[in-house]
Amino acid sequence: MVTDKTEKTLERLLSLLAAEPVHPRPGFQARLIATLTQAAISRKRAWLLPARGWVWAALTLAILFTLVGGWLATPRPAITATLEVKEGQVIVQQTRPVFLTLTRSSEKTLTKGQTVKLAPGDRVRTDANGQAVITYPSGSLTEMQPDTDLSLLELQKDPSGWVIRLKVWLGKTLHRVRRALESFPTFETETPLIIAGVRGTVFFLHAISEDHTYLATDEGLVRVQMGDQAVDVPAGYEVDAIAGQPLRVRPRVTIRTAWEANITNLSSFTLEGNAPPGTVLVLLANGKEIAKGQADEQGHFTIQITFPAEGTYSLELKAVGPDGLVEVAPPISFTYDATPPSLEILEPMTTKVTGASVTLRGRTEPGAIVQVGSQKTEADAQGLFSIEVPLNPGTNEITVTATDAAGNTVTSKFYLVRK
Amino acid sequence: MGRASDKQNREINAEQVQAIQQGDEKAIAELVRTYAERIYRFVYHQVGGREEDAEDIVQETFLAAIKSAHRFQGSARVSTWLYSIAAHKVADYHRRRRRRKEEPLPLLEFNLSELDSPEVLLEKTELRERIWAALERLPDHYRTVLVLRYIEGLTINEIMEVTGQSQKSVESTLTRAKRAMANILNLK
Repeated sequence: MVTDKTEKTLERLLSLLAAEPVHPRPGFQARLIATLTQAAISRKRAWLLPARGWVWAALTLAILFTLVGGWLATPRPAITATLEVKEGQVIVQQTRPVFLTLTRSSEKTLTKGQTVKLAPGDRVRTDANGQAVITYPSGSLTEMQPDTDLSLLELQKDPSGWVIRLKVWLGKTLHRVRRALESFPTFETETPLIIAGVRGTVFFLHAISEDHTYLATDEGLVRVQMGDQAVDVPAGYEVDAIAGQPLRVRPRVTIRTAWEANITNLSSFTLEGNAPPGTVLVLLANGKEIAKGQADEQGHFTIQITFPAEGTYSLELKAVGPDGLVEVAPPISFTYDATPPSLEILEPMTTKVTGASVTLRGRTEPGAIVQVGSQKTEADAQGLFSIEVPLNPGTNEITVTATDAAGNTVTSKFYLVRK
Repeated sequence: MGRASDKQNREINAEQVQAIQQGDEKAIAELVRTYAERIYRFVYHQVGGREEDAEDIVQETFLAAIKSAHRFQGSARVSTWLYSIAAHKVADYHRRRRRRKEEPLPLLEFNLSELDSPEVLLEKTELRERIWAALERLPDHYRTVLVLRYIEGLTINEIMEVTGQSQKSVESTLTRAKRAMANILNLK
């Protein structure tokens, strides 16, 4: 228990301290004055700087407004096209805005069946097996074939209609541009060499290299510009744009007749194909006209060809469009051969043999196919052949057939007796 | 009680405080000359007589005062305002020391009846250190009121200004502070 006496004692003890002279060390006050003056001046300067609460608040608000405003002002692709991978792999490089002019780039590899939204600036590459289709909001399509590299440059809708601009860096593309009734779409495809501007059409474009682009129009009209040259490529026509050379539009001739080799044993045959309607097709053999035909309204043509004699010809197909545009296909070498090959059996040298089979050796035309029963072989460069033929006991009828490249055949029949 | 001299009772006015805030060197010098000794003594006895620590705390007190000068209300005295700031700085100091686990000086037994004798007075240095050690063991608000009242000689009203407590609260804190210190010192 603390008594009054104790309290008095305590107060006395404390008063002992109070009675003692206590002073800071010499120079303390001067140092303190200097320190405080310096601090006060610094604070006064700091006052001029944005250190006050309201200034910070204003700054924070300004930053907030800048961030929100910037986010709102950041351009984002409102319209996109859809890319769908049909085969193989497709690499898509995309650049998307993050904040105002800041962007982020990414690269993704897509496989068959996968889709991605494409915006202007995106680049697409198909691999050696890759095929993809880009569908635009206007309904137009671009089909990408393997090893094709393109960029989507522009995709928007303005009062006159859709504006779609592509750049095909390399490879083959087929474009199906849909023309809406109420608008006139602009569909431009660039390559390193040309700009192809179209209004409602289907066309094939092959950027072969930086100096060579091939374009063929299936429907509608394509205006091709290369430097200061410009040509219109109508349906059924094509153009090879080669740097430094004039643009020349020519009828697009497609041969549908298929033959396995540039050789035949038929003296005449029919050549079928397609060309712009009204196109006159002339077949030249060694520079002389041997056949002629004309494409009908559907663009279909047939030409009856008859070779005057056996031999090898240099054939050229010349197509003259109704507008006078001429296409001459590069000449091909073609052989008409109606003579059957020779056939000589060298072994066996006797008609009586032993064993369950015999090796048949002979000579015919080089490259001819030799057949005995179900056994087949090809004669070598010297025309020699060898074929193993199974034998039944007793007399066997052996039929050897040789067929040359033109389809001419020769048959030799003889008997072998198995002892 | 009532040991305050005229010099100690001197106060600067609110206008001078505003001049301090503006970095007026003369006003700052006047502030230091008027209050530094008082605040130093108030601090010195609460930090066990460690001169360097006391000076540091006084400097922190005056720096804080300049920083918050714009909040100083003319109704209060500058001295009580500075005591209030210093009390907080001392509390901070002891909090830091406790974190560093610096134990106060050990207490020694002594006989109260010998206090009046010349021998005890000769041993005042030892006695002083015991009182300091006891003060350091007290809770911050007990130590503050004891030093303000019995060493600085402030009135109850002045202590009310420093601590922001009511008169009754100050008186009861003083009573509890004395009991606590008497127990620490083993006074009977």
